[in-house]
Amino acid sequence: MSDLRKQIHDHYAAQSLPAEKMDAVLARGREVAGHEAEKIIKLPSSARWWRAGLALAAALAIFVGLAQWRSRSPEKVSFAGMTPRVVEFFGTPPELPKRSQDKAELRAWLLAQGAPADFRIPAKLMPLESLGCQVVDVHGRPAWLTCFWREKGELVHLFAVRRSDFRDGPTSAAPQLHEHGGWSFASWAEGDVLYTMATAAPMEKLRPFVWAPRRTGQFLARL
Amino acid sequence: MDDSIATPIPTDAERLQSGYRYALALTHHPEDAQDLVQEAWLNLCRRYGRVESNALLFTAVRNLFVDQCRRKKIVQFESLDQPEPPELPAINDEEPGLKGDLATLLAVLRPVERETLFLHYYLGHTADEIAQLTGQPRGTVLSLLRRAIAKLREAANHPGPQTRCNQWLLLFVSFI
Repeated sequence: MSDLRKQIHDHYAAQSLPAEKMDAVLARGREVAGHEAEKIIKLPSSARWWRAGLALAAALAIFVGLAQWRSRSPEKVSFAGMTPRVVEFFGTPPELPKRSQDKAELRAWLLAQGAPADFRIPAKLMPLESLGCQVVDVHGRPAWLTCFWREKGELVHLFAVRRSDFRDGPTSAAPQLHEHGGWSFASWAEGDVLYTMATAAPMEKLRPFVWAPRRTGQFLARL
Repeated sequence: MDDSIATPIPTDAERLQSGYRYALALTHHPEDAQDLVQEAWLNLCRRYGRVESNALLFTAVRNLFVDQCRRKKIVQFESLDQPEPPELPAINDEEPGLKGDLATLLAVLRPVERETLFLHYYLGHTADEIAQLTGQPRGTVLSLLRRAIAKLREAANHPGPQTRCNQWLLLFVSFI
């Protein structure tokens, strides 16, 4: 180690955040992280069950109304709108209401939110650490989003949509790759589900997670 | 900067400490560095539920620092009395040490120069890694390193008031 390197190293190594300050920051960090999670899963108190029931009934009525409206308007939206919507969606840091390291749990949550039953997380994403998931509105159609850490501080996102909701989507399991607005995308079809994998980086950062067509059998892992 | 394979995952306390030192390299002021790393840490906890990596924390600290510089309209001055040498010396892996108090000497550097020294000499990052982390060209990183070392040596060899020069040129921090 050169003298200058040692000198600079020793200088910064000697600097420490005071212990009480560190404890305070860590405690406050846990508090705000817990508070955010609490906000998401908080249930109404027992005294307000009637309100919850009312809200549930209203939600049910809206859902039934929407379902009927959907059944009367089978018009599909263009899959080409997916890419700009993804870029727009991540323009502001999104909330991820469901967070878990357990991919089976994330998938179960997405299924509970209406994701297609044959939705699967690609095998190449399975070893990654997951961050959370969310349901995203894409021009009036739901897209079920799961986020993973691909490397330190960098995410890769998986969107799944119903094939019946979109036109001009991919038709085969061979991924179609393209870049848009500094993002890289891979889209493919699997059964009734259209998948879009995206990351805010050049294509070479996304490619390792995209299935290579010759290895058909290893693409999707059943959970 | 992929050090995820061999490096053990630091604890939250170690990560926070590392973020503080990085903030200190930028601000060169302990209280400001404490405030900066605290705000960055809490922002990340609010957004992601935890602080996932050092790189993420450093980026948050850096972005906050840049925002603060913009808000406070912090600018830096460089003397016209001592023009830059036409050719900066190459970086020597075996750089000899500096005479004098290093904390005082580091005060003559711009934040971006201290940051580069910190990343290179304290964290051991290469110029390529620093370029990737800070979003600057590799050549700029090398130039910052050479310039910082040259300034430190100059300050160590000719100690004196830093503010006695006659003419000053307004030079924006490269962040801004």
